[in-house]
Amino acid sequence: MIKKHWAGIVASLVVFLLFLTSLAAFNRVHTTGAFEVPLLNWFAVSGMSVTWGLLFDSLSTLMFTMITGVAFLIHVYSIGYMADDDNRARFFWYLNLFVFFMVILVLSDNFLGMFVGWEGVGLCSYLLIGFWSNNRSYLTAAKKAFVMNRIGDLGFILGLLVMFLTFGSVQFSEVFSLVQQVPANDIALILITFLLFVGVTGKSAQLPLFTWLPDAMAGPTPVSALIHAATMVTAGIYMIARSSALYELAPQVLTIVMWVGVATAVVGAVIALRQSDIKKVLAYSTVSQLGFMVASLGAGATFPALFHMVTHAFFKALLFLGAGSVIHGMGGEQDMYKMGGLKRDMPLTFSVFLVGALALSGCPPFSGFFSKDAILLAVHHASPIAFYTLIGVSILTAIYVARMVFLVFFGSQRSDTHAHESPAVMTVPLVVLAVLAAGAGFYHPELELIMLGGTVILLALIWGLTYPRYAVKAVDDRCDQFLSFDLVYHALIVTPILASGRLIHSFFDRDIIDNTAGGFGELISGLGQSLRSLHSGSIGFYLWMITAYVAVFLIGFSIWPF
Amino acid sequence: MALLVLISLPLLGALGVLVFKSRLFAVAVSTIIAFFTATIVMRPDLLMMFPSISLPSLALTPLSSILIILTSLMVLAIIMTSEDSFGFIALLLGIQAALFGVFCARTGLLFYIFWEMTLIPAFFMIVGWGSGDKLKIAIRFLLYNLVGSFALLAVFIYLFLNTHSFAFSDWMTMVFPQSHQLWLLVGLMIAFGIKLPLVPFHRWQPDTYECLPRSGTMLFSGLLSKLGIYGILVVMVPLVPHAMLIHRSLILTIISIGVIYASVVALAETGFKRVVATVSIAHGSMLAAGVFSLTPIGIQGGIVQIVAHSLGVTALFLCEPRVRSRFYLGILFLSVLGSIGLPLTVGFIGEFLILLGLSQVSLIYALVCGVSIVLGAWVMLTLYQNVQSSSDTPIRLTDDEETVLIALVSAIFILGIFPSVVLL
Repeated sequence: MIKKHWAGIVASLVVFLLFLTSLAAFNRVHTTGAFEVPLLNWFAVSGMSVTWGLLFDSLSTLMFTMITGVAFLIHVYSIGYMADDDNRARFFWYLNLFVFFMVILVLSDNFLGMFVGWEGVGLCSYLLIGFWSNNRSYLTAAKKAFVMNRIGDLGFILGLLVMFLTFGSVQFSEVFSLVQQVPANDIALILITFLLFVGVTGKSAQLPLFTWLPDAMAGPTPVSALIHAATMVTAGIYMIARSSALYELAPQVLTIVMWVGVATAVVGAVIALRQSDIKKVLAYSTVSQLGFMVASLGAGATFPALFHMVTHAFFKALLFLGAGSVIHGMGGEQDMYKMGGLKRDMPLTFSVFLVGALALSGCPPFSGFFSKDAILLAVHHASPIAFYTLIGVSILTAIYVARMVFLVFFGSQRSDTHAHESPAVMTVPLVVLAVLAAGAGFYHPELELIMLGGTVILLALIWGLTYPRYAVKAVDDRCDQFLSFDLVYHALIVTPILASGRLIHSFFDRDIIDNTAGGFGELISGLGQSLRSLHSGSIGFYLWMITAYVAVFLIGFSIWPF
Repeated sequence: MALLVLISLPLLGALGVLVFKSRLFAVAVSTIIAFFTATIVMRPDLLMMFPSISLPSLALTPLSSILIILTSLMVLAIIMTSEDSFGFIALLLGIQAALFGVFCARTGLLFYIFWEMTLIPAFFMIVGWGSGDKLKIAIRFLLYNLVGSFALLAVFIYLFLNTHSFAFSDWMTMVFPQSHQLWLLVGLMIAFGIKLPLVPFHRWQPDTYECLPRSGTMLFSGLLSKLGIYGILVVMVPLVPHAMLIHRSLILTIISIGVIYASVVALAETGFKRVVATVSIAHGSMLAAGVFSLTPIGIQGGIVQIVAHSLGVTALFLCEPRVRSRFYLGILFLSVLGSIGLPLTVGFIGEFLILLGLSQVSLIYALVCGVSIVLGAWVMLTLYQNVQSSSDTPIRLTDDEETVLIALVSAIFILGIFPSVVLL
């Protein structure tokens, strides 16, 4: 037993130790204040130097604790989920590597160090999406995720370049103090914040770079839970929150941020309504919920965004792991239309999944209600139109969540697979997450009675109305290609680039350059032909002649007195 | 004196290899050379041991120190993994001597002679050990490079006629008329651009790399291509800085287009060696862009990128498809990461500094060259995945190859975390 699971046990222990460290750091920050730990002098060029240290303040320790806590639960869950995989040792090492880079990302005291973590988690995401490398389409999904993230990362790098040029530094402490002297609406500041936000659209799956996230579901489900729901995709949220001192001085960019968030929330929720794959529903839901957080940041409200980030980490990780438990129990089936009636076979999974689902739909008193409520309030101050749009999205959220729960757990069984409840090593983390997803909202219980009452009535209405459609009749309204941005991107970007590659290769390289060079070549070889009578014609002799000629020429020049 | 020994050591080694015909001897010689190089770089006072016979025409600069160490280590790596006969190794050592010569030369005459000295062994490597249509490819290689050499020769003759000296120090203190500077710039651009190679002088490169045996490709891509950028750094930049500054936007525009051009062509290429070769053109162009930004940071980035590219491309060519053991796939993946400049690899430091230098000129260049980072990831991951899902080839990695690969990949990451070694 131990022998079989040693990799998972060691990996989980390591993360658990890290979690304990994060608690200690959290405690220290809240008693004695922020502190720094220097790591190394990375490099210094032309008067600019990058030193690398760890910064522990309330924001980074919040992230640190959340990441290691959720990661620990998911590591433990993975011991059960990956028990029969031959490469599980490799799986756990990638997972640990991911935690390492994620911690670097949130604890670095400068933007370049943050970028190291930023690309590092992208790398781990690549490795884990393509973990089952026998399936070529999984590899393609992994590559797509990496390349689309790199598009965003290019924005991040360019933002860093402008930051370097403007402030001469990428250290948080220096940049945030120097920025106070920059006048508002400074063009450099607008450029920096906008370019950094391009990075966010990649990593946090916002419009227009969100399409890699649904494909990333090719990875094992614990990966989807950890990387593509709870932690990595929230890196963008962390980054904007970290740089709020910059964003505050660039209100135009904040407006862009907010509307991108709102638009992403809408698009994600609409697409989620018609998916048949349980993980795809959750993926688009993540896109949509990240849109909420980004919108909140765009409205200038950092706290609600972070609050929602934490509650979302709990309930979305719970939902993914619950879905993983369902998939595991169904022997790998992900199509919701082949499930049904699972609440009898998997009672524990059902009850925790229900908690997650209620939290996601924002039902009081679960955590999602409080955090989403806080975001809505914040956005209301910034723009009523955005506020009403997000209310609409919340209704859509409740609908696709109800559809998912009804299709999977209610009604009659639609396939021959006999589902079984997952082992304790998987269900215990689920229960812990369920407790967190249910209770985390009371950290900041700002109650508004109208919201409370309205939400309850609305949710009851939605669940009541969708029950007959999905739980009883299981209406098949799937449309997996619904609103496919992929087709558009493929037609407008990927195909033209590949076509131009072939065109340049065949036309410019071969026809133009080679023919031009060939023209010169013929000229020279013509010369060679006429000289051939003088020489033996062997290339080697020819070459020695050239060299000797050149050498004599040069030596002659050097001794000639002029 | 020590530098003269440095240059003659590989030549003696080449003779020894031909006489003794022993692989162990070749490895021993290049190990000794590597130690010798390290010694004179770390103890420059040893160079002064015989002041009476020290040659002013040979000297070490910080840049040439980095490059001769790189050269001696790379040649050691190539000899350790080479499967070719002793004639090939002798030629390789001959090229090493020539490279040492170019990197230490402080007069135009020596620079030119050593520069030409690389060409002949290289030609015979293609003819003698190449595959496919090797004679045609060898002649094309030679013609391209001779055009470059004659351009270089013309420039050097002009400089000699005007200064009556071959010493770099005399050349660099001279101020030439504006119109002459332009012609010097054009001549040097052709000479060094062909070597690097820069688009549109690049067409000799993919065929040559594909035709050569693996060790030859490692040598050409890892070391010989660095002659071009070295020439730009030590001849062009000090000689015609004003002309370069005046025409900077034009040059940078051409190079940026070249970077994208090569990256896009790489997407259309097939075959392991050709893809890596084409990506290598993009990297070389990007490196040149850093230098042509004429900012201290960009030049610094270019120098880091010389080392990064040399390590990365050598590791990649050494990794041509093999039995897909876990070790092989892992090391190939790490080499790919080095090539796409993931943070914590030395390539990242290089690319970041180059982009920073470019952005000091204009953010547009940084953006255009930056697009190649995205395209590069696309190309290299596609390459990796093709190897990953291809059917097995029967060749295994040997122990020596594994050792060299571990060393190369470790260097890529160690220098990425502690880059100050390669920062001047």
